[in-house]
Amino acid sequence: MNPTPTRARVLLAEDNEDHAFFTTRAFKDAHGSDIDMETVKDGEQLLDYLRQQGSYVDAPRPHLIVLDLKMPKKGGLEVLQEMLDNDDLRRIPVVVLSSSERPEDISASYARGANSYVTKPATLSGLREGVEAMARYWMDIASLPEPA
Amino acid sequence: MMLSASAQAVAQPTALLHVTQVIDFVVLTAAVVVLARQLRVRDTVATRWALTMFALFAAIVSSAVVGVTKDDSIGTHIYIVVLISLLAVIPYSLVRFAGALKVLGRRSIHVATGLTVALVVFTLALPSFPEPGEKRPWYITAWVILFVVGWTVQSVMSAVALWRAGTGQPSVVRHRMRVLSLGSVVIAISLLGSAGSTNPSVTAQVITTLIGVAGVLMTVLAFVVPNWLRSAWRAADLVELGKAERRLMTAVSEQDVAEAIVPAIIKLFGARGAGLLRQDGAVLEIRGLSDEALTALRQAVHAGPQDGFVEVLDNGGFTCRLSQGWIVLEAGVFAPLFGAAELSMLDRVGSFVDLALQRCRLFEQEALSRHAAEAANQELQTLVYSVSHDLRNPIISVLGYLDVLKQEHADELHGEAPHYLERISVNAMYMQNLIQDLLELSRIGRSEPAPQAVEIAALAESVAQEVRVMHPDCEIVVRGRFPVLWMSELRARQLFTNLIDNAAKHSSGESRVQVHAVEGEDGTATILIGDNGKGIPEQYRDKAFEVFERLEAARSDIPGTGMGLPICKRIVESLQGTITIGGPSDSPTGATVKIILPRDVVRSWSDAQQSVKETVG
Repeated sequence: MNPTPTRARVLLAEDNEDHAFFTTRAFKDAHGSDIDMETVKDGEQLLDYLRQQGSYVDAPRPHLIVLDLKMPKKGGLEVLQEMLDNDDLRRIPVVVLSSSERPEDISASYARGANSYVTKPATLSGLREGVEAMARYWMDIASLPEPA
Repeated sequence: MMLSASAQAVAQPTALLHVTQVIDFVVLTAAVVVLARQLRVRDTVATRWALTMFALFAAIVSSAVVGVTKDDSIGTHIYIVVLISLLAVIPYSLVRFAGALKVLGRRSIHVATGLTVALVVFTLALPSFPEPGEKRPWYITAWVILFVVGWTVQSVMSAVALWRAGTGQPSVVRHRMRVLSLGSVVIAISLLGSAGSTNPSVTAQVITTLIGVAGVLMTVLAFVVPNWLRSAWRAADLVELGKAERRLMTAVSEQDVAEAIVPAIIKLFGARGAGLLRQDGAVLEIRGLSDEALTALRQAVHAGPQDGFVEVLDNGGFTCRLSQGWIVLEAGVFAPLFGAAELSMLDRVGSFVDLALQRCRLFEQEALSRHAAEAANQELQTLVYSVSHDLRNPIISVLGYLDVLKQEHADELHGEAPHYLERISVNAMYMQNLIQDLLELSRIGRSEPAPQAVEIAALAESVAQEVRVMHPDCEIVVRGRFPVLWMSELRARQLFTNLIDNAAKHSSGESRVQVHAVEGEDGTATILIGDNGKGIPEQYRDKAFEVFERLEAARSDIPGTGMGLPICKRIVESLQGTITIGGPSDSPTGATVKIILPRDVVRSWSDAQQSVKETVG
């Protein structure tokens, strides 16, 4: 069963270049190369991307967003809130991938419509396994809506 | 008494009557001397009126004692008129005395003045006095009635006022006012007794004189209370003092001390007001002090170092210097006379307050430094947590790129390069473990998972199975009965994994690790994990629980960050237990870790064998 479109588009919002690199690798390792992964470095860029503003006029709607909470300019929780307030954007599934273990962050994320919350594992192997499992679940098992 | 004494002075006194009159005179003279001395110590209006009263008494009684031959001369008449006028002023002095103590108002004093003036004028206007046994003319009867009424009204007025003034006062003051009151009543009774008959018998005269002596004695005693009487009267106050002292013992702040002692001081000393000041004069607590008195007392406190107990105000304001502050006190109107007993009692109170204040200061200092230490510790914990938390990301990246290098660029590495890359990996991995353990260590006690009943028998066996996989040569024996502990299962697993793994790592030869537990008679649980390794020399055993203490060189064959035992110690201590390392238990070498857990953590006991079956099955 592979309900996700043949070429899935995943948007990763992560300010740490290295983490973005490993997360992208893990996604590709799990799902293969038929995945388009874009990376934005902060919340404002992410919203521009979704609203096709600025340098993202031609940006396609992603099937899935992987969101870090601690980002410059606009944090993940703010982005979630703005997405929730927008009829189109709130349909896009969002996975929070954060190093924060704070219960407040977890419940605030779900309250703002996050579809799952994953604490970044503390070790490299943990991170790789975690992200790969997450990628397999969202790419291979879960069905994602066709972007509006 | 006096009336009879004066009226009968010219008659033939019997020896007995004469003796009682002499006694009367001696008592009164003594009273005058005592009051005169008191006046030198403390010149108050009340003392002056009291002195006037007794001086008048003494003068009148002395005339009876000396004895004047009565004849029909004008000299005798004037002599008697003067004596009787003086006698008329006695109850007036009593009223004025009560007035000076502010227990009688102006109106009462006006009434007394009116009565006294009328009586003196009437006396001066009398043409003659009847002989004993002679029939009284009407004007004499009227005069006697006016005299008796005047005495009675003024005495009763004063007596009632004095009695009421004592209510609610400390016991010395209360007793004093009541005895003064009774004394004036007794004197009035003796007077009425002697005025009742125109020709009293000698016996009646003796009795009235003795009653009068008693009244005078009572008044004098109440006025200048001797120490023995004060002590007796003070017994109830000392009980109060004891209570106040006990309250002081439980005070933990300066404010507590002040609130406990100031009301007690007011009560004990019958003070108008009192207060406790800091050394610099800052008020901790004041009650009942007039603004005027407080200002003057604080000025005195600021003025400088006076030691002990000093009177600084004319109307009885005192300061008592303590090593930690000042007691200030304004004497009450009814208790103006501070004697040696009061001073020593105030000294005693002062010492107690001093001790209490010192204790409070220590308490406060101790609490401050404890809070500071707790805050510093908390800050350190937070720092360790956030540092180790933030260190995770870069080390993950380092390890990640090392992986990429090894996987995708291995063929580009030549010569020593792969070896160096391996060393970088080993060290980065070690660093990641260190960070991980540090983070774990700082988590214990910060964010504890909810406690539950953890069956140690099952848990230890399950941990043992995991460790057996890592150390297949090591025999791990979990046997006997184990407690069911009320704690976080995660922490319990951490604890036993660290300890059993550690023991297995340090075992040697035919390596063997034994885990068992002992039930204490007091409900505690002792858990022992022993190995047959090299053991730990006694001087290093405490060090093993310190963070980053590895007893072997860092690059020895035994892996680990050295944080295992500190983590165990934290877990055990968070349960209020103790963990120590001892010598070998039943093998010739090795170390035994001993954990003692308190009764409230131990829920019940269960058998290891049974648990193993459950775990396996």
